[in-house]
Amino acid sequence: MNESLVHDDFIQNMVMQYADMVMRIAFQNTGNQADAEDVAQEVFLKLMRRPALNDEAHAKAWLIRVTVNQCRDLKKSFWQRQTVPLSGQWREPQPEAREVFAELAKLPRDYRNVIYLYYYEDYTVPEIAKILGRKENTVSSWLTRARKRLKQILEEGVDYI
Amino acid sequence: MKNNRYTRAIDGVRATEEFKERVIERAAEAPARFAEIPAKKKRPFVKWGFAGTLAAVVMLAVFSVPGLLGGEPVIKLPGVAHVERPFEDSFYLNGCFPSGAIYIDNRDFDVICFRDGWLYYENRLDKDSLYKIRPDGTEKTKLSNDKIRDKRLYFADGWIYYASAASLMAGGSTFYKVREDGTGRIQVFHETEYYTGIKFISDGWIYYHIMNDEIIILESDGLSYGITGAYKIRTDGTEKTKITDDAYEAHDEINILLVEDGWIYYSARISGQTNIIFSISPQGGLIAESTAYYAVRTDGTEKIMLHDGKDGALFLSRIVDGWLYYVDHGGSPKLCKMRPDGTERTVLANDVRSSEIYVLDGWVYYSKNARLFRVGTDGTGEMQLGNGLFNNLYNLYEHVFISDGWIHYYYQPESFPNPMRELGKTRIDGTENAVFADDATRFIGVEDGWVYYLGQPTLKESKNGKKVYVYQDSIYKVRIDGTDKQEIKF
Repeated sequence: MNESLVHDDFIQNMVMQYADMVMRIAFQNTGNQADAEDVAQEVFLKLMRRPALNDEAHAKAWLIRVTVNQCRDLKKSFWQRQTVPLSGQWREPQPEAREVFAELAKLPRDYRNVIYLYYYEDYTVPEIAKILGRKENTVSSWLTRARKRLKQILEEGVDYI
Repeated sequence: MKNNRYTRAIDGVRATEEFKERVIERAAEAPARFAEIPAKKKRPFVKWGFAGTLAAVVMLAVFSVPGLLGGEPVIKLPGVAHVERPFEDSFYLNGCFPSGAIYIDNRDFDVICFRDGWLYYENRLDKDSLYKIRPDGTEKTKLSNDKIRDKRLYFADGWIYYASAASLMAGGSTFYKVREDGTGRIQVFHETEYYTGIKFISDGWIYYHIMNDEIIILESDGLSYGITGAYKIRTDGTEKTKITDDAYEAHDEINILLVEDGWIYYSARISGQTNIIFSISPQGGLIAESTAYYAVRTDGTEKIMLHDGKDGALFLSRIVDGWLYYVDHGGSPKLCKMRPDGTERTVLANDVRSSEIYVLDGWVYYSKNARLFRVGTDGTGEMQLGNGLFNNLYNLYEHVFISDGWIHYYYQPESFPNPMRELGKTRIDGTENAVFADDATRFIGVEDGWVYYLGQPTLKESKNGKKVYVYQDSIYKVRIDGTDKQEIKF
C-alpha cells in the first residue's frame, strides 16, 4: 500500500497554489534563486510532515511563517554568506526589477517580509503581527521605516511598464 | 495586491514548473518520514482532535435521497444532503472541506459543492462571487457578491451561511446568510478573532468555535493554534452564549464534535493538565492522549463524561439507533460503538484508523489501510470492498454513494499515477467490481441517473519538454451504468 497517496492531492494543491508565494518570500530573504528553491522545497516537505492544517488561511499563514524561519535557519548555516545581495539573480529579471531588488536588499530582512506581506499579500498589520509572531507596534514600526526608505518604489515615484 | 513598482517586481519571481514537479515528487515520499519525527518536538496541544473533528462534521453519517433514479433510491454516504436525519441540513458539503479543492488552474469556475441538484461554485469571471447552476449548465444564479471564506457553506432552513473572505482579510470573521435563491443577504454575527468557524447549525442555533490568537505558538516549524472558546448564537444573531467553561486557558482546547438530540458532544483538555503525551497517527495527525469527552445538554442542565480519553483520542461519528459509533485512536486503533451516555463500549473491528465512518442498514463503512471496508454493526462480517485506494482521512465523505445494490466511489487505482482517478463501483456484498469513468479528477455528485465529475487535465508538453496539465472549462456527466458520457460547457 502506498501511504503517500494519502497526501498526494493535498501537496499538489498546496504547491500549485502557494509555490510562487513561498518562492518570493524565500527569494527576498536569501537573495538568490538556488537558495530560494532549497528553502521552498524544505518548506513543502515540512508541510507534509505536519498534521493537517485547519483551513486555507491557516495553511497560508503557516507556510509564510515556516518560510521565514527556514530562511533564518539557512542564514545560520556556516556555509552561508553573511550578506547576500538581492541583486536580481532571478531568471531574466527586468531592469526595473533589478533596481527594486537592489533597493530592497538594503533593508533588514524583517522589513522585507513586512513589505511583502503588506503590499503583495494584502495582509493587515495585525495579521502580519500574528503570522510573524511580533507585536503590532513592532510591525507597524518596521512598515513605517520601510516605507520611508522605499518611498519612491512603493508610492509610484517613477512609473514603468 | 497593491500596485506599485515593488509588487510588480516581486510578482516576476515565480516558482518554475520544473521546481513544482520536483517538490511534488519529493513530497509524495514524505509521509514515510512521519516515523522519524520525535513526538517530543510537537507541542502539547490537541491537533488531531481538531482536524479529525472537522472531518467529522464533513462526514456525519448516513442519509438517503429517495427517488433520484426514477424510483431507485440513491443513498449517499457522505455529507451531500441531510434528508433522513435532522441537523437542520447543517453540515459541511461535498467539496466544502479545504482538502477537496481542485488544483489551481485556469477554469472560470471553482466548484464548492453539489447539493439538491445545484452546483455551487465561485465564479472567477465575477470576482470569485458565489453562484449556483444546474449541472446541465442552465439556471445560472448569482447568490452573493461575497467570496466565500475557505469554500465552506452551511445550509439550514433555506438559508446558506458563510464567512466572507473579505472579513478574514480585515482581521476578523463576519458570517452572513443568504437565501438559497440569492435574496435577503444579511450579516448574522461578527467575531473579531481571526479564526472563527461554524461547526453545526441546529434548532435555530449556530454552534461555533473561536480560536484565540493568544494560542498561536511561535515555534521553529511554524504556527499552531487551539480552540479556546465554543459558543452558540441564534441564527438571527442574538443571544450569544458560551457553551461550557471547561477549558479556557492557553493551550487548552474545547472542540464540539456533535450536536444531537438536545446534547452537545465535545472534547476538552482540562486546564492545568501536565505531562500530556502525544503520538503521531499514520496520517501524520497528532493524537492527544489526555483529552476527555463529554456530553452536555444544550441548555447546560446536565453534563456527563463519555470517555476519559486517557488511552487515545476518539473520532465520534453519529448516533444511529441508540449507538454512538467512533474510532478509538489509542494504542491499538479500533472501530467501536457505545451508548450515548458512555456505557456499553463495544469493539467492532481492530486496526481501524479511519476518520470517517458511516452507518447504514446494519453495516458500518470505513477506510482501513486506504481501502474501503465494512463490518456489521454487531462486529461480524468485516470485509474489504473494491480495489481502490482511499485517502484515510478525507476521501470517503465526498466520493461514495450507494444505489441499486452497488457502492459507487471515486478512488485512485494502484496502477495509475497521480492525479489520475477513476469512478468505480463494487457490489454492496463485494462480489463484483466495475469502472464507469476512468478520466475523473473529482467526483461532483449524482442526479437523475447521471454522475457528474471534473475531468482529468489534458496532458501537454511545454517548450522544454516538460509535462503540463491543462484543465478544461467544463464538467462531465456519465450515466450511472457507465454509458453516454457527455461534456458540459459552462
